[in-house]
Amino acid sequence: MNHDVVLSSTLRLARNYPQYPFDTSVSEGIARSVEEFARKGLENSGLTNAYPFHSLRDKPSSVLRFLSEEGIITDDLARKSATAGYFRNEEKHLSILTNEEDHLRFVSQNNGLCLDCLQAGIQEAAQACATEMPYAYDEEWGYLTASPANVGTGFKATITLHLPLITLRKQLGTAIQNVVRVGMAFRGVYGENNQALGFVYQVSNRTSLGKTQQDLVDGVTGVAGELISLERELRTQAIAEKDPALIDNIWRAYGVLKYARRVNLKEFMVHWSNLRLGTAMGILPLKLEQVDALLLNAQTGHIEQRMTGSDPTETADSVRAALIRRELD
Amino acid sequence: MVCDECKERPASVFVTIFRGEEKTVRNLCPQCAAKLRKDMGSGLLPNLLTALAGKTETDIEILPCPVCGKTFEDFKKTGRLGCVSCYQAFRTQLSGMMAHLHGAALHHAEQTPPRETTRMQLLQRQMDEAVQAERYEDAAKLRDEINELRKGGAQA
Repeated sequence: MNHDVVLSSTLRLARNYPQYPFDTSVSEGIARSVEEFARKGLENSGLTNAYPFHSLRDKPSSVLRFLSEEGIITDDLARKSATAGYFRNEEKHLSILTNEEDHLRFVSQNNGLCLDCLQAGIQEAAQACATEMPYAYDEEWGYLTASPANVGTGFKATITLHLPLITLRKQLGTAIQNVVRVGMAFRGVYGENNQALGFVYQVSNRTSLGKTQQDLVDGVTGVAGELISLERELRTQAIAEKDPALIDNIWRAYGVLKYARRVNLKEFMVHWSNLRLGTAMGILPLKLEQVDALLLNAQTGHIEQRMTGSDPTETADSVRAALIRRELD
Repeated sequence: MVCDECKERPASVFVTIFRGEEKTVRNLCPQCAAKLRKDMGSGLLPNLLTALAGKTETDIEILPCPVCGKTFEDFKKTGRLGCVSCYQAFRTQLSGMMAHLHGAALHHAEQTPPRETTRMQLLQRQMDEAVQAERYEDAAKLRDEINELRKGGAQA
């Protein structure tokens, strides 16, 4: 199901209640009222047990990092941890973030190319949270949000892709132009300043007004489809050419990750990209699920959770290396 | 880089003007930029005015939002509005922006999902749906709940 190039698909919906300022971090009371409206709405719809609430107050930063890496919360939510929280349905991989940039942000994710699969869950949750107090809505501009860039549907569809060949074969510039030309956004995910560490990118819709959610889903899926085709074409070419440099890099990455005793995050990302490419191309004896799990487990917050502190020689880099060696054994 | 307007002082304020798909970039010095803000529409900056999309208000004249007190300046600094009423308070200015942000369409095209304001309305919709789907047992249970609500006068 497109796993050779697609890492995940995410849907996000933003909603606000009309009577409070968008930024609720100014008042604990207001933040709690927002939580209450959502909580009562879920109760009205019989969803209380399906969506337990978790407050971010007093959660240590390593836990916040972990939750953000898992896609359960966002970095923006973590920054407002004093007043923020989330309802979580683990089965549907759906979080209702409370008191982030908007009062409510419904976020759902899966690890394939199926934005449509996420729609029903998001709609159910969003409708539920409006049953106690309806959302702020304008006849001309639709659902109102803190940023005018999100009004209308308040909807953002994102597909995360691994595009090593497009990048290495210098087709990224053209690819980005094609994405932007149809009104979509394109960015690198890992690293600072939207770097392309690991060659992981995201395409998403840039506008949310004047189109239906389905239009936006179709638009993003279409653009992703073109990128997937191009990446596959280039990979096929590379295999046909038996590209020696590429194949060598893939096996070197495998070798380093299998045996190194210290791996820092940046180095890991470079090798991980080769690992994933090698796996997708059928060169390495690994499974994509394995490789993607490794991506998550090697991130900073995840590694921090594993550090016991009992061994004084233990560092994040050595823990990461040990984790990787175990996984690739 | 020298200011496009006075051609003397160095430019440090970079203004991008959109007219539909057309994009114009003007490089201004702080003095000419301030003058632009103050004198927009009065013809003192002819080079710039020919590029503008016909705005006649200056930002300084815009009153803050009566509900949350945020100003349009605040919005320009942060990209975020203060509250729902800001959309009313700054309607004219935002109308201009919406075209740039989202393309030509301004009207919300999507069907609004049902928005109940009370538990009663929620139950009534659910009962209608149950009847439509021929789930008569569910419909009966909901009808009973609705009657309870009506009788008891209890808040849901």
